[in-house]
Amino acid sequence: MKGIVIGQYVPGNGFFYRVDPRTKIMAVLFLMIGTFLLNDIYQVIAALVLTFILLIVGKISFIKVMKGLKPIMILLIFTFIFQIILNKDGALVLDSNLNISLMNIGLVIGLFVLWRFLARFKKFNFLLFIGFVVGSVVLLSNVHISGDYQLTTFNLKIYEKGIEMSIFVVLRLLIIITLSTILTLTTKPTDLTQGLEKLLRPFKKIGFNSDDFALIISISLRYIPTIFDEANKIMQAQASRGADFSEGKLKDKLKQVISLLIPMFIIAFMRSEELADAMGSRNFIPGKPRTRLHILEFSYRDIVVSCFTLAFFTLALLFRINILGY
Amino acid sequence: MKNDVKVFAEVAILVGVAVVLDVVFGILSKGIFPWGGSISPAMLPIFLIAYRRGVKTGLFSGLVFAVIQLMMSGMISAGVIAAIPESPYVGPGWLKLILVYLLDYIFPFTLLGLAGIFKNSLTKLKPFFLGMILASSIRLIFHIFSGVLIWGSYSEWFNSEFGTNFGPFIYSVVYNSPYMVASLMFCMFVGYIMFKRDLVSLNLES
Repeated sequence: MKGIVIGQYVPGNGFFYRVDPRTKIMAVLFLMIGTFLLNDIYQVIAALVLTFILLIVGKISFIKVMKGLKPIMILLIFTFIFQIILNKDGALVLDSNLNISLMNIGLVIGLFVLWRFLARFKKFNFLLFIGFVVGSVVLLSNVHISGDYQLTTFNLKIYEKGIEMSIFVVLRLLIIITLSTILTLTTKPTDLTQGLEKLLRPFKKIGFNSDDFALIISISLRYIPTIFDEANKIMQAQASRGADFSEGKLKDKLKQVISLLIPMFIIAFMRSEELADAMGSRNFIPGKPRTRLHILEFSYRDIVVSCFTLAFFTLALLFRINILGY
Repeated sequence: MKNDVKVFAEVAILVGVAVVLDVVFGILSKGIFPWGGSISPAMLPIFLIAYRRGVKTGLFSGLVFAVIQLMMSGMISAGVIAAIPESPYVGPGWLKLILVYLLDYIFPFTLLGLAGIFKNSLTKLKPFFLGMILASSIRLIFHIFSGVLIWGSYSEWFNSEFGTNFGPFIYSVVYNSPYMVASLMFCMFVGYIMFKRDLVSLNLES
């Protein structure tokens, strides 16, 4: 449970570190929407190149960005396959009958074992996966072993548009991940909430207090790791008394979960009481204006970022409504 | 009521508990629901705030919970958004982007605060349970809506996986109901035990 990180801020001093968080949040929002306005694979490739230039300008390592992709890898792979199989427009690229038989399944399992074995070396993981998929398709469509027991056949058809769309979706994803990673890598969570607070100011007119909102978010974020540690401690304490959180019947499991949850809630209530006392003794009054040690200030960097964002967004919009005749 | 430091601290800490529960039980129930949704008691802290401090504070803490979830899942769950499939109902991509934020996060979690609209929910068991059922149903309705409007084409995956022949609406109901019902039962069970031990009104001076 120690590995869970909230926010991926890494200290540094690149260009984007000194851009105002308000500008960064708005810029990322508009760049994302702009990316979604693009509807052509060439436009997306151009946008990807631009995003990489942003990385170079900000001196942000590409590997850190790729790490952000890990949790959604499964989703990504599924979308890729989903688009390839279901999109039936354009010219036919591949049309083959997959023989699914006992021997072939054995061979595919062998290939799988080989893939997992090679994957242990932690390099070119994604290429290996693609190799595995392509390998099994080739194997299934070409290998016929005599005397084999045929289970079923599956007709695999891949169209041009399907490949194009899947690449399109994956590239778009890459752009959006990169953009959001630039934001979270270069902005402290406290700055992020402060920026959010300032941006949500206008909602005060409808009775929404953005100061309180941002402060509650930052207190929550501050306490989440603490609560995690607490949950961990309680789990270990209960485990030392014989509780087992992963096995047993449903009834036993529920009992164990109760033994985790009840102390968690009691500690939370106690902690909130303490926090309220601490805040009260420092004369904190919710809803009243507060002063700050570091005041956000705009600089020439914000103008550069704003201009870039505006240009990108306008261009994307123009491409979308097809005014350029492209 | 809102201008109370106690309420302030309580909302902050309990939302933190909700986020932690969401992550812990999200890990425990990983793999059951591939496209989101987990069986977790994460809604319970929000319900408790709504019961203890009223609907308005409940709605507010629900919104905070939604925003923290958005921030935590890789900034704004960017992957999910980028992978949004073509939908027969909603055309342009940017509209789907906004709809995902609203229908999958902001509305369902904010409206969890509505659990507190029944009277005496801290002293009587019936309004205590009714509030949970109401709020969870509203959340389920929003998830079903988003399942139809945005994720409708995933029904093809579902059909091929389980050999069924569902339309987007039925698919959304079939996909979203189990984890919501299970989460509700979970919350009701834990809530019942807390209620019986008089923990729901801990530190609450009347």
